[in-house]
Amino acid sequence: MKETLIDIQDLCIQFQTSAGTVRAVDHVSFDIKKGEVFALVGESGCGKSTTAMGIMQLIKQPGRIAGGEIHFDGKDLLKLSADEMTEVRGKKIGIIFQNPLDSLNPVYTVGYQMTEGLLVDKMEKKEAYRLACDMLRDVKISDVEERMKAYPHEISGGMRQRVMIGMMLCRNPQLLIADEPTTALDVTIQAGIIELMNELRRKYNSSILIITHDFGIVADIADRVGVMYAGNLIEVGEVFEIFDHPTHPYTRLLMKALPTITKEEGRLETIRGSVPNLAEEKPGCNFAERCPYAKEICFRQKPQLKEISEGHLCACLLLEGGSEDE
Amino acid sequence: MNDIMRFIAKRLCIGVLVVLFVTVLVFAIMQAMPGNPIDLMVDTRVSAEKVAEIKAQWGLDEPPVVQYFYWIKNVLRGDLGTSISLKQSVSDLILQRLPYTLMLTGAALLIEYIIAIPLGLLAAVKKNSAADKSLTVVTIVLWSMPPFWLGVLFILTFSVWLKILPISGWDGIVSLILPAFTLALPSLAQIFRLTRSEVLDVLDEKYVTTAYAKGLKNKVVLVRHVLRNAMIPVTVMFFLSLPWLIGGAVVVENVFAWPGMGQLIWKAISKQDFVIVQGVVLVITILTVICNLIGDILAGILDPRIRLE
Amino acid sequence: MVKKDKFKRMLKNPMVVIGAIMFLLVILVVIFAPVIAPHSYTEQNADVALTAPCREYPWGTDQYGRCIFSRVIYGSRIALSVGIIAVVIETLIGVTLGVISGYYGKKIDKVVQFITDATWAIPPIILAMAIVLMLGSSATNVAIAVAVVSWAQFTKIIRTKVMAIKALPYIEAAKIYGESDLSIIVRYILPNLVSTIIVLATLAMPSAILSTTSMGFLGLGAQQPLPDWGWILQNGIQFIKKAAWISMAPGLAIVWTVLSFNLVGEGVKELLDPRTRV
Repeated sequence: MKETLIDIQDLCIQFQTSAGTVRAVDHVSFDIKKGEVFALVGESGCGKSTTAMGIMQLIKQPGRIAGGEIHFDGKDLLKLSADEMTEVRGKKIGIIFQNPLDSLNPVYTVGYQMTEGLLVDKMEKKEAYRLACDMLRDVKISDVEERMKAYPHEISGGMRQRVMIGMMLCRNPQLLIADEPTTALDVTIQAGIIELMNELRRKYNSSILIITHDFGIVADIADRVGVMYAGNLIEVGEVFEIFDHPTHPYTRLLMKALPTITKEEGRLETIRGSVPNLAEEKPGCNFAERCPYAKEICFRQKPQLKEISEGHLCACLLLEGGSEDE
Repeated sequence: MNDIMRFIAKRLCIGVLVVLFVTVLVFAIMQAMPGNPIDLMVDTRVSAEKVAEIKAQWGLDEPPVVQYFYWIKNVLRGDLGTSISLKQSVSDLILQRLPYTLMLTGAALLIEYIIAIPLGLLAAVKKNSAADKSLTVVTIVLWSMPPFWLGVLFILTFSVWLKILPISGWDGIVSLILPAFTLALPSLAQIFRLTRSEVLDVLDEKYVTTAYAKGLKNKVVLVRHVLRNAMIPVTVMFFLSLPWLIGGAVVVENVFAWPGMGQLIWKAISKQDFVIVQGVVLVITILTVICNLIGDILAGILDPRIRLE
Repeated sequence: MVKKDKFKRMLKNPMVVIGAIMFLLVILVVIFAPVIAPHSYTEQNADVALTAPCREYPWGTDQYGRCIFSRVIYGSRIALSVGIIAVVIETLIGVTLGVISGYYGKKIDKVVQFITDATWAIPPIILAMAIVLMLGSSATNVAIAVAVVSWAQFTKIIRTKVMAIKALPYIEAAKIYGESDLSIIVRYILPNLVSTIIVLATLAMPSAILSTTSMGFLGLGAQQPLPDWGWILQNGIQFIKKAAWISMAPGLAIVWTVLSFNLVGEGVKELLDPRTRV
């Protein structure tokens, strides 16, 4: 059994909007072990990116963390002071974002931005420069010296993403959060980035929380996967367990809707209906309206995550009655 | 390096064209004015021949196009001509008064920016708070104040009632205070809003989140990443607004009897002394072109993305 | 056209409401000046020269014994009409040039842009002064002069919009059908510009009033005995110690009027396409 690196419990993140309080992340709990890759999947707007930002405490107004605990490194991150959290960021937990062009400041060179983080650790400029160059080589960037002097808009999208990865990994954080790291890149580059992340994980033994809606990537790189829907975590488990035995109705429909996973020939299925309005508080399961198996109780009671086999949890009321699904 | 040189050369060429265009325009307007400076100055008892003689002396009998070219020829030699009404070299007149106007506009610019930038930053960081809203309202009210009224109000308060500042004219650096503030306050609003909106835009940028995510302290992020980027258009604005303020200075100089170029050109226009008017407009237009050029170069230095163009 | 909910939101903005009320008061003063003003604006009475504000003369009198309150009230007609005329003229010039520049593009565009930038290079007040002196001092000429130095603010924005509209497929279609340029401009382009023009015109009012009253201050506007606000203020400077009210009153009137437009402008700005930088 590997050691737990970070344990998120009951995380709640809300946004105050003119339409009401949106429960973007509603009592989400999961943990990530040391050296493992955990994938958080779901549709756009299900709260996975928000969860990631919540861990880093980078939630901007009008959002706020409304409850929960995040145990990391012997402390509860949500109880840390601003200064203490600043020390965690970059050093212990790093994050890379989706669109690499916007994520780098256009007025500073790559070299400057790479060393900026390192210099927080109080080292000589020369030392920081050397480490940054090493890191760029690790992320397979050629002509390192040239790139260090370049500005973000002068290098390609794929390279910018590598720079981001390098920038966030150079202080060797124990956990790297990757928020849709390949979505903005074209397919050929995607593979390279994933390959890179795998290598780095092996080399530095970091854990990775990868946020994606692409199950292909999940299959490629993840050890465990968590499925989110409308702010709730509805299923968690080892990747192959979930792929082989998807339990939650949503997960099963997701699998069927994917071109990469379908074994049978035939039409792609869609999930009818649309994501619920998170500003309205409803009793019962968020997925009930769209669920083909929904029973009356599903509209009244909220399901909790329950372990159905070793390491495999699922939040569905139908499991308790032991009915149609497994 | 070559790119920058070509860029500057091209802008200078356009600048020269602009200067020429403006001088032709002003020349034409001055010529189009009814009457002429000689008639305005001269006693009605003076004979028509004498008047004609004086006109010939000043070259006023030549057709306008010829007059224009004479003027250009002289300008290129550094001679801006001699004022008809004041009988002094225009260059001398301008040199005498330009420093005062520059002092006034320079001081006003400094005041504007020193006040408006921190307030704009504050308003952006605390968006929609009471502070933000009240600052916005205050600046709108300031913006609605005509400088000539504000100036009189200041004189009333500080010179007449409180008696702590001089009423008018140049009386040492202290007399710069009221006119400079009069010029600065109504224009504060623009800088405040620009700063606020630029900072807000930058705060939304992903690279600011990246900076925080790297573990940089809040103050560091605000200065090094937010301000550094938000200040680009604000800094450029600084240079671009200098010529504008000179225009505003005309009215303020009038209120405070400030010995600057505004007064000079005002009197010259009313006396139709086109020599002075052309000279002053030439100087101001050149100044504007230079300021625009500096503004563009500055933008390229501060923002690497612009250099590509 | 402007979306309904944007419009409704604008009406809820407190600044817009206050500005609108202030503006309404100005309009009422303009219309009912003869009723509101206790005296005529020319009536002189040497006995009451330079009296402080009192019941008979709410805002005091000037050196000729004229009622400042009445003069300022009547002066609102001059101030507002001059401002409006200026904005109308600059809108006409600016929009026309913007449309021509944006529609025809290439060389014409370059020429218009050059002229626009060049006129921007000379401080507007100076050019305006010269124009008024060329035409002669009067309220109308001030309006013309101010308009001539201010149209550039319209041209740039209209030009960009026209270029965007021009790129739309149905314009191409119209051209292929053989519609004349003028017809295309009038039938398709102008209607799309109407809301932008109205917004820009509203936003141009404050500076128009400030500029025109500045010209009046310099003596270039409506001549005596007409009660030009700027000129009344100029006249009062010499009496600043003894009779400050002469200068203060018209100034406050100007601030009130300009402020009302600025407040309404804050809300009206929201109606513009958010990408336009004013």
